[in-house]
Amino acid sequence: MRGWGILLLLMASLGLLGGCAFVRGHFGEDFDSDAIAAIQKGTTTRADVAARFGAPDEIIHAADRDIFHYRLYDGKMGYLLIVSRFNIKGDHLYVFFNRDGIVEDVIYGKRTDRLKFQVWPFGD
Amino acid sequence: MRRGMALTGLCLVAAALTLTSCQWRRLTVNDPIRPEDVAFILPGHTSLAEVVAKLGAPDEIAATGDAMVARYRFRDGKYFKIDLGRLLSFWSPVTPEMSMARGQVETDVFQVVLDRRGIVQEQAFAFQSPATRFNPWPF
Repeated sequence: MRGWGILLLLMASLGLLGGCAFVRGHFGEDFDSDAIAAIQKGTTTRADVAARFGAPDEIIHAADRDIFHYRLYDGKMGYLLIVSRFNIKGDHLYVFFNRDGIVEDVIYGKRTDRLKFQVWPFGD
Repeated sequence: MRRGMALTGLCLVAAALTLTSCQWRRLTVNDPIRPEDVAFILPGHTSLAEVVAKLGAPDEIAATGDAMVARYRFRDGKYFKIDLGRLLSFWSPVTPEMSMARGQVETDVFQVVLDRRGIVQEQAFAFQSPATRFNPWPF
């Protein structure tokens, strides 16, 4: 009798495994934190930034400054039979240049390190 | 006694079968920002650096005249589907789709307007979508 119970439990577990999936999507390249730390306000030039990080995803001209914007998105999805959850977060790096093309400010925010695989769609 | 147990078992099987015809899906983009999270921002005093220290880097910076607008975007989507036709698959060779489904996406934007020095001049939630919920009723 106990053997049958274990067999049933095993079959149910295998059935659940067959209906589960974990998927990861990545858009953009990871930011090198050492390269970000190496950007010096008042000395690093636009060419230096482009050489380290490549061409920006976007160039914004605002308040008499040029701003290089680099983006990275990461997505994780957990799927189990009838429930699934897909979480996406983005990292952004902004480098502000003055009129002479020298770095004036750097803004970097990392959210993807808090990205989790989740299956349960309820709650926060 | 036996009849009661059989009835309970039948109800449990029916509930399990009904569950297999349901789907709950969720999509979240970034963490939501609530009004209490931005209470520290004082127009005319708070700098962009302070905003970034608390909320992280914005998703977008745009130009507006002499000023800049920093925007934070976050979304929460919920989708619920029930396919009663799936119940037929257990004893019928044909499984017609008899579905009801509804998806809702809450898209919110929090924005701060900054002057040339990077000091916050205004702040606002551009949208305040109603909270989404799992609801299959499409009508």
